[in-house]
Amino acid sequence: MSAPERLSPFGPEFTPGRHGASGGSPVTLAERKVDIVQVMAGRGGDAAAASAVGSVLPGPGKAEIAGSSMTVWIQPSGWLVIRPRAEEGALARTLASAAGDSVAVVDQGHGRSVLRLSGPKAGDALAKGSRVDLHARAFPPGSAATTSIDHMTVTIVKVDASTFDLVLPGNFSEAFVDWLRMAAAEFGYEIGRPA
Amino acid sequence: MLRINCPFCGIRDEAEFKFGGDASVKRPPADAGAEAFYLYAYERDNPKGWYVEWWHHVAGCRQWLKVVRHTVTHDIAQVAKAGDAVSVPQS
Ligand SMILES: [Zn+2]
Repeated sequence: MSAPERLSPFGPEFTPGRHGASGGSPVTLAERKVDIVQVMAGRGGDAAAASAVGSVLPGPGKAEIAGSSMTVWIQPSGWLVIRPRAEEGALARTLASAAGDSVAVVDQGHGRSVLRLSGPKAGDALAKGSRVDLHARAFPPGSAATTSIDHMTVTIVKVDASTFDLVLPGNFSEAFVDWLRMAAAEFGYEIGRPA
Repeated sequence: MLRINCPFCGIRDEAEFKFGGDASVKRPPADAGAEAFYLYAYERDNPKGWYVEWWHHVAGCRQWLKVVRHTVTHDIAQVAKAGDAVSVPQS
């Protein structure tokens, strides 16, 4: 039996289309269809976590990005592993059995969401609410920061010069997009298809 | 607005943190008696000057930090990880 189609945490109004100012270069917002797993290593468990994840675990303020997968530092010995969506719960099960008892693995697939924000004005829109300096010098691709935007805790990952992935608390995804719509309205924005 | 230099995240605004009170109090031994536990739970100094206090980087790395802050000037002399020792300036 297959699981029912998952509902988007971004709500029924987050439908593809163009909004806000016309012309120029719109900011693009799109839900990423991903699995999200939180990996927390206990004392001395970092090596086991790294071998389970299968890549270098980034240090503070960094994300390790490979194509559409990424591992994001969120706290000392704590990371989010984000991979293209596959079978429900499979990623967490695989990581948990590979990592063993010194590592806590928690599926965040229903607890968090990932929004991709892209376009030349993406950083300008995000900067309106970010306490973290997003200038290219201070926050180059591969940077990650957890901060508070409009009272919501958001993990910002800089993917490339004009692309950010935002890891949001699932239940706040709709509220966050309400804020982001206002921030992006002056540039115009396009809601893309989930990918 | 304080700017707190988190040892993990770098300089962040106070709004990302939650205040956690005096970081210098020590839990007395179990047999220390009611008076010692009363002082431990309720009595706090209110110094004019340097103070060592807990701040929780709740909207960041979620770590508890020790901050050495001057209660008059709001200068911050040091921010340390929870388990690290801090030194308090003399003046
Ligand atoms: Zn921090």
